[in-house]
Amino acid sequence: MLSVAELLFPEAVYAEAVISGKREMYEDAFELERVLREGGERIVGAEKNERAERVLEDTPALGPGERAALRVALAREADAVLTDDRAFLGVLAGAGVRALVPSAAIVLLAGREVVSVEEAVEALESIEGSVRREVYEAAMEELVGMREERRLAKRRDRTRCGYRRV
Amino acid sequence: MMALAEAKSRTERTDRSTALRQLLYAGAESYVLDLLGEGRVSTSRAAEVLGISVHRVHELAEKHHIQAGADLGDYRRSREATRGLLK
Repeated sequence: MLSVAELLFPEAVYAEAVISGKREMYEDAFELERVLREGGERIVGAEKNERAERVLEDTPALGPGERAALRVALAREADAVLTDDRAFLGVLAGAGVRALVPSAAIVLLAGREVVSVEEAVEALESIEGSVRREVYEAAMEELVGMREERRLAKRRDRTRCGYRRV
Repeated sequence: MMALAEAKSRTERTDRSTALRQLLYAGAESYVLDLLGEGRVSTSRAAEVLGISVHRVHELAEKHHIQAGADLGDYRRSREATRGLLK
């Protein structure tokens, strides 16, 4: 994702996901720090803005991480917010902000050929335990369909070029 | 509740007020995890009110088989809404 999109990482999210995670020795936190560093992380402050404050005013369901993410997304007119949190997804839908859930991000990257279908399947399998079964299956079904489509397209191309043996 | 705290303090060789606090915290934790599973609070909010890290919330949710992630409707909405991205 970092290779094709600018990822804005709010300070509050970084503090939650990396700093406090590292303090408690969670391996994920170290891994995330490494990935962000290698991908040219951009940690940004969350500027308050009118639209975000209006949404957040009546939203006690969100914590500092999501509040900051919403502020950053609206202040910087982000294309989408990457999250897998149901409560946050509900708020984003209500506010008309596009959300990209991780399994959909994997399928999107494979669809745009940023990663191969095989790499996408591998990525999806790596998050299998943390996503709902039905979501995992829906994403996998799309990837399998994509693989089949590409296989057929390749075969069509070969036929057109006269490579195919009859 | 006091009887429970009394029993817990005897079993765990701790004082009654500590046992009572632990029981209250366990109740709060369970309540917040239920809210998380229902999508009524976010992971970050759950961590904030319980005074723990988001990583610990994920761990607790997994331990109690609570799904806090996107459901199929969220996934489909996400696919639809982001169809035009990265073109």
